[in-house]
Amino acid sequence: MEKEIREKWGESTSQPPEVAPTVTTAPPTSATIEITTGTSAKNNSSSSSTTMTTEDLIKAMEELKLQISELKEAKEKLAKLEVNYDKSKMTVAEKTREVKALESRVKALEKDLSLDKPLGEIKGILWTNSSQSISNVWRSIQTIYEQIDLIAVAQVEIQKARTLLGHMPEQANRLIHFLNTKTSEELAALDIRDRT
Amino acid sequence: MQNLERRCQDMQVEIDSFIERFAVLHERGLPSLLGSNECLLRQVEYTHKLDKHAANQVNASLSTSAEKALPSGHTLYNNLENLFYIEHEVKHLFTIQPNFFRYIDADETLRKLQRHNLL
Repeated sequence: MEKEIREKWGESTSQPPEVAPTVTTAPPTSATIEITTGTSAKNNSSSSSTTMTTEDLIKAMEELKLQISELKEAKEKLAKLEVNYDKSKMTVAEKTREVKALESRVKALEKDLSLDKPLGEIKGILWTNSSQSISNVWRSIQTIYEQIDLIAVAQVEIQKARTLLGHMPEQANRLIHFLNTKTSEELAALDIRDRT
Repeated sequence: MQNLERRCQDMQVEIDSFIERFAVLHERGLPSLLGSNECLLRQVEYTHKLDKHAANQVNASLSTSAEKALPSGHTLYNNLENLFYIEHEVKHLFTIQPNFFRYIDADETLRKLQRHNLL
């Protein structure tokens, strides 16, 4: 306020006063404010004395009021902007959460669409069936592998027999003749139930 | 003896046929019947092995969900064709159950030869 008055004073006087001006404010009811310099104190009728009228003060006051109201408006705008900013921040966070939820949902749906789970279940069923079928034929598989061993033994024995008979062709012929000339009963008596 | 040899050959044909069919199944993903010592596993052991293998296969199919492409008929066929093949073939592994009873007389001849110390 004082600064304002000083500015006003500076505008109205081209030369600064030699002595610090004294501001005498009249009582609130007074309509004028008298500003006197040292010289003016001696000579009241001097031209250097300046009087600031009530109108100027009112004008200054009005300007100040205007500025205050502008400041208030600016503050209100700022507050509104801050509220809006907060709201938008909240909205962004909310939207981000929604987007994340949607992304996870899309992933889940894609997974469902890729039929991984049903495929896994089908595979499980097929393997169970295969396992059951293997169990059903396990006895046959076992027999096959037993026969593999037996064939190996038989082949060794056949080879041995061939070697022995190769050295005794006459005995072999006699044995064949013997087997062919005996009846089944006679062979059974010798504990040979099969001629072959 | 010739009879024994002939019957051994017949059995060998049947055994070879089985081994060949099982080799195809093994290539398609069925675990081997043999253990580390090249002997036939016990049934319990093989069932356990098969269950473990099946679980691994199922888990593997679940973990391949990173593929973004939607499944096509071709994909489904590729995924399941082997398993359907294995299931079918194992079920019909022995269209005629091996009846080695008919070879018993061959085994008997072998035993006789051994008993009479002819070999």
